[in-house]
Amino acid sequence: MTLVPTTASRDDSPEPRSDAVTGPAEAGGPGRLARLLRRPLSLQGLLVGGAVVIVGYLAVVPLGYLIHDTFLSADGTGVSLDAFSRAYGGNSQSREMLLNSLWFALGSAALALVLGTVLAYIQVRTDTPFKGLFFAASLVPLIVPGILYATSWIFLGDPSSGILNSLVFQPLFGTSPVNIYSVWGMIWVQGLHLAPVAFLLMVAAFRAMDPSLEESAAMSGANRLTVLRRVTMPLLRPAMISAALLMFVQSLESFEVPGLLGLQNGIYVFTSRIYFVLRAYPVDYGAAGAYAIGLLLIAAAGVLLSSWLRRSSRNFQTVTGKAFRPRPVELGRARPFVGAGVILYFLITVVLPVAVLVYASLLKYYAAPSRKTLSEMTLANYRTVFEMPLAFTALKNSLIVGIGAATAVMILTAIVSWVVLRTKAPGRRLLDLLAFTPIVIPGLVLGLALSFVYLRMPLPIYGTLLILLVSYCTRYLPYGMQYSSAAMTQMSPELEESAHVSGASWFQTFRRVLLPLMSGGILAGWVYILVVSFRELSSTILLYSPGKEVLSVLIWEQFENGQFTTLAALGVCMVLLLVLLVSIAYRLGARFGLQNDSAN
Amino acid sequence: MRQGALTAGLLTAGLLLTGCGTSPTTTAAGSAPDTNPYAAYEKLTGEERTTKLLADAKSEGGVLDLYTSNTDIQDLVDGFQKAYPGIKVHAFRANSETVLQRALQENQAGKPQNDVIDTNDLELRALDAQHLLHPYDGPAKAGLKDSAKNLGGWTAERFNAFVVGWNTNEVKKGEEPRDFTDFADPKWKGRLSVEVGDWDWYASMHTYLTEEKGMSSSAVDDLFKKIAANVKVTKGHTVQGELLSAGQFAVALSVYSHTVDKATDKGAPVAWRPAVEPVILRPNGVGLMARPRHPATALLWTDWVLSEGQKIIAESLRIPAAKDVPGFKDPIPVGTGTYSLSKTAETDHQKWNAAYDALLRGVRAAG
Repeated sequence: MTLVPTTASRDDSPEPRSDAVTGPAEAGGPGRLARLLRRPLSLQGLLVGGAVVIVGYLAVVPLGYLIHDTFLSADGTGVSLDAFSRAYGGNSQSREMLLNSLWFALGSAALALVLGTVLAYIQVRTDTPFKGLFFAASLVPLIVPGILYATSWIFLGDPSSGILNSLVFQPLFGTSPVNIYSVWGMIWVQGLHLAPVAFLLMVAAFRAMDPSLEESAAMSGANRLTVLRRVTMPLLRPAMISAALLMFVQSLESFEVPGLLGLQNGIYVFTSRIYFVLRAYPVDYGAAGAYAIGLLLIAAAGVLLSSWLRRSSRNFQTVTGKAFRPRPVELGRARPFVGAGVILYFLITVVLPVAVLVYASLLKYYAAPSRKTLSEMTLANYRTVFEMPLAFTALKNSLIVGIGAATAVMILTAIVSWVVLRTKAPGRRLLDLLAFTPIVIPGLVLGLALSFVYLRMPLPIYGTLLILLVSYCTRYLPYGMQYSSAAMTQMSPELEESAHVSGASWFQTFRRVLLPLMSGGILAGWVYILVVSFRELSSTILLYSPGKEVLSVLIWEQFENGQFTTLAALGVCMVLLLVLLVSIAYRLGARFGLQNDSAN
Repeated sequence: MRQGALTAGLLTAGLLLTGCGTSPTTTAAGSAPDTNPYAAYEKLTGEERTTKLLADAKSEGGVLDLYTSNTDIQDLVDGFQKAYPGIKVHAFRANSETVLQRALQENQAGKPQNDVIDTNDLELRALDAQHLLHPYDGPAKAGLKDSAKNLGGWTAERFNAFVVGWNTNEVKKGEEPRDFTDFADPKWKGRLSVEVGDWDWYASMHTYLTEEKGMSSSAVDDLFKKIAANVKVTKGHTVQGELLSAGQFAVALSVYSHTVDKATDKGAPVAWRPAVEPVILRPNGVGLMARPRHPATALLWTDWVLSEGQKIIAESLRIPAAKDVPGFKDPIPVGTGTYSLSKTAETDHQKWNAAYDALLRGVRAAG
């Protein structure tokens, strides 16, 4: 069965086939960058060259710092591998921990991928009821800081006193089956927390997919399952691979969920090693770097595997010159069941944990719900939040840096993903890999690298908000790249060619054709970066300056030595604020021509 | 763009960066400056000193740059700005490791940005070892406890007390823990909690048991192994305190007394008295930077924090460094044994950190 009839014979796809028709377009692939950069001072030359240089620079600074510290021997004279034996040798149990980590990361990524994809499919492709709930269900877990999300689940799923066990299972079934302090509990919480990453990517992918392909398959007699397996899934592979890769590596390097849930039962993961190393003084940067380089190797294997998988699949280009209008699948008799499923998912991932947060935020100290606690509720924690002297400065700065970083990263990565996917420029794979490296650099190391460089630079960057912007742009580069390249892979180059043939310059084509068609993916990436930048702490805490506080610094203060209930109130305020912001972003996106099929 | 140009460009950029100049982290931060920026004020006392400091502070710009890991700093800042309305305090707040890293980085680059630092003893010692601090010798020194002064380049301003806290619903009256060694009993299995980063608490307890109680090192290791079999490990003191209030475990072996006291004030079922001995006292201090941008303001702050400011420290349920603070009632009951980490044990952070890590994971400590 031919998957993509409209583009099957295109000759200038990124990997031209040997039987490709020869013609003027053939030179398009390899020669594009050369053509552009022949006049380096032209607008497009500057744009493309500039974006590549900036992305390369952003990624190389922390990586160079990391490599320097890891491989330089202690006396500073030569190259040595001592750091690796300190990090992995002796009693470090690195093998067990790595296995724990891999198991946890694979499980979480798989759970999140399945959840995110199914939700995205229902959201975009069906006439399910309660589409409005999707919006909240898909984003709220992302917005709640990991520490609060995990703690909510402790209060829900503790084997003895958790609300689920004591108020639901114990009275109804006489058992307490939920134990959140297990690998399964960790996978559950991390998977739910990550599902929005997959959801955002997959929604963009489904929207950019012509349903007529599935319809033709159905017309040819394939049943729904076959269509799903043979047509829909293969077409979504680039987006699924991107999502899986991001979530896998992110789980490998996160310590929130393993730290709060795993440690209680002695489940140690790889990152607990990094955590220990970075807490001592003098910090053994070599050992920390050696761990980061271990993660880097895994991530690099992931990036290579993903580009190989993308290449080996025949063709994903679903956005072609042919117009299409996504038409929702009618669920028919299944509609009420799907609707019930949506409500159930919403209840579990959003209502339960957020309700625990709201409940905790109204208490003076946390205690399981009882008549006594319910009668003692108070708004005092919210008063504390609003009376924090820096709350409004921090909110303003978080907005500036978050929106700035999201915008900058998405513009840069849209251009760079074009270079990586559409040109034959030598070094493009290296660029792709390089842009992925910041995901494995520990936040503290990134902070140190940036302060080292910018303290020695005469530009007014250190001590201003700009350094946070640089830091966030670096940290979220990998996410931007995955969102952009997933969107770019779906687009057929014939659109660019037609624009070019019609006399459009590269810049016009990029701005008028590519960007609008990629807008779904770009907006998804933008929303993701905005949301997570609000809680970035590990590099922020070293780089911010007094008077330039951001919200995560206030959260840290509450976390370090405050009251959990105040922290919960702060978390609730953040959820409300970000839901509002994201709705505005999607409304604006709709106004500027983004396809919007959510009937909310 | 010619063959390989992109690769070449990226590699060159990388090499330039990695190869350039000094090592980012291995060089010493610096040596003491030749001139003493505080010389003009050190002989002054009383009214004359304050007037001169205030006048000079204003001419310096009326700004104090303070780096701190004290999470109650806002109360001190408010109090200081009330006492000296013309001075604005810019406080950089972060955890103690970060405060230390930031000050080190800035001094290495020759661009010190702060006048005063307020953080934990370990970090202050590290800064002092790099000659980045200047000893305080002002009039407020006379009013301090002996354990708070003559510590080198810094002065203690308050003490944190590590105590054993428990949930009063989970630990019935009359069954309260009395002796630390009791926690090895299997009846505590799954009911104790420690924090994953509290290696300094572990170092203190270990040293106390060997040096003060005369236990052999291997006996102490054995004891801790048994205790470790009973503990649940949490991450973060705030979460630990909250889980204790919620009854998720019965006993937290290493919490701050003020965390428990604040929770008790809100009605949570937690307590730490009668205290399990020893209460571990950790000095937190204030240090004058050797290269301040606002020396007069730095002295004005330090004078104030070590005298008037002590009242505010007492109000936040911490233990002040001054001998007499009006209205202060020591939270530690009279006669309770206290302990502060000895100098010998403090030096080997790496060793204690690794040993604590190994203890919690149940593996042999690295030789």
